[in-house]
Amino acid sequence: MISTLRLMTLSTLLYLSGGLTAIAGELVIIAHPSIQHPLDADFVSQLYLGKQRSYQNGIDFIPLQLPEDDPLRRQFTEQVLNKSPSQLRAYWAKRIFTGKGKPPSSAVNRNQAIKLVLEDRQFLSYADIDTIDAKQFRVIRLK
Amino acid sequence: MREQNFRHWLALFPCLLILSSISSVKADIDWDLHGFGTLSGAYMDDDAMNQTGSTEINEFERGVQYDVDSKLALQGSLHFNPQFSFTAQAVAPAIDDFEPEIEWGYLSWWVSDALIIRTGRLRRPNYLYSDNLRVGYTYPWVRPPSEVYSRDSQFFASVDAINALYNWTVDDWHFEFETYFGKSSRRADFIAGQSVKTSTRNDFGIFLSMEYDWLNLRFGYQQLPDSTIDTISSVQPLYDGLNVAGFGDIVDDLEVENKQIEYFNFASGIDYDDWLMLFEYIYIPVENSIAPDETSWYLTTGRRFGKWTLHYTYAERKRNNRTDFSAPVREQAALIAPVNPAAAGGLNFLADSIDTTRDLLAIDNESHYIGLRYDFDNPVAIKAELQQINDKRNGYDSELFSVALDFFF
Repeated sequence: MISTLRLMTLSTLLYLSGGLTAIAGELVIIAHPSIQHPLDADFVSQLYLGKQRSYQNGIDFIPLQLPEDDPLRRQFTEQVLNKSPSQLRAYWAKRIFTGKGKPPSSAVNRNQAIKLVLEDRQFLSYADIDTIDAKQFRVIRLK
Repeated sequence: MREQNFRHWLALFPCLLILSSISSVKADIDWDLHGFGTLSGAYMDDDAMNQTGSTEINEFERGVQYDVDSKLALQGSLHFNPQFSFTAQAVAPAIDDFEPEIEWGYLSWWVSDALIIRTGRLRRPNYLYSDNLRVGYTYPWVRPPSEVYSRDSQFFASVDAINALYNWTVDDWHFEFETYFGKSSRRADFIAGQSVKTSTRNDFGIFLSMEYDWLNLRFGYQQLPDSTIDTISSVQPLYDGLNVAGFGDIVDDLEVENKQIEYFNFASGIDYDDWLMLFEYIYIPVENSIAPDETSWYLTTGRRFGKWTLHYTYAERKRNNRTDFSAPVREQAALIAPVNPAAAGGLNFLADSIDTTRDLLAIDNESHYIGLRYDFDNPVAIKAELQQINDKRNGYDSELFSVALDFFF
């Protein structure tokens, strides 16, 4: 009885901590397949926060956001940028109105983001691994 | 004169022609438009503190007011190419009848990923929130603690400068170094509806921010070696009296004219899980003058509960001037008292006036703030805040309740 209860609590906790991840599949960073650089979550985070744009010898990356209402965007903001959506908005409000930068532009939808990343090696975005053909991209896993 | 004006207009023509041809060839000049604003209401239960003139919330009067924090602002940028852009920001505060002031107007040169050089009119980054002080959406309070962000600390709010901003990353630390050199000239609000003209030149500042995941540190130093704050009309008779009595050197001492003002700032922010903590300390020594040195700080702790943020702040503000300006006047009075008691009485009156004026500018305040912020799913937040202010020098206290709606686009 006790162990069943414990198991239930555990699964509830797992479900809660998994949150969107459990529902939406795995969030990954996607880049053009020709990108060789050792991209990692820290670099991607700096890129999306406008703190870095490229490696010394590399190309200038253009990070692409998904639309505001896409649940993946929220997951990306929380998991990779380590901010809540409103914290990220406040961050950009400060940068915009003090002339220190502007937020990454948004793709119209997931398909456009995918298309742009495949067409042009400057673009970088994120996706649900279950909804893309992983072989076509340079995929960076976050865990 | 008329003809000269006409010639100026004539000279504009070729410029306009060149400009229009450039823009028609390169019609793809990128531009963007942003804006922000605040709608607020505040209620103060006692305006006794206003009467002393020693409070930093002197815009507030007893009762409800809608215009103190309310404002609208627009910002437009023209991006000539990826390296060069021009940005202008106009802020129209309700308290100035929505008359817009250009607070930012500058040319940016994005030299590289790491370096931005800007020149033009910029807000001075005195403290952590100084350059975005108008943008309510960017901080948890209705307005940053007035002990540090008081109206008169905004005397030198903007600067015409050349400014460089350099970013770099070492391991998990992100660094931002900012420096400027410039001058300023503006009319600023002072106590009891009086405004004063302020000017500075050869100002410079250096600022270093360090950021590590949940921790943020900021160090700032500014030197305004040649600052002038015009004497307010109510003090002028005192200076006139001293000049007539032959104490012109004391007037030179008292006046904030070509004096050095320094700003030291340390700020630290922690944002760990849903907990936040902010600490900021400022120290502003002013070269020998009627203007007191200032030491102020605040500590904010808060916690986010989903879209709600609950926070508490304790803040202190101290301005003090211990210089004994009146001693020579009193000595002179003592000397002539046996021969001319009437003149001695006059001198003593002057000496008392010096002391009174000096002490009027001293401040010893503390505040407790408790506030709540709610974030909507779009760039809109509403805030409510209660500030309990204690004027320890004059023995007054007062409550200020404020609500605000902040947005940007």
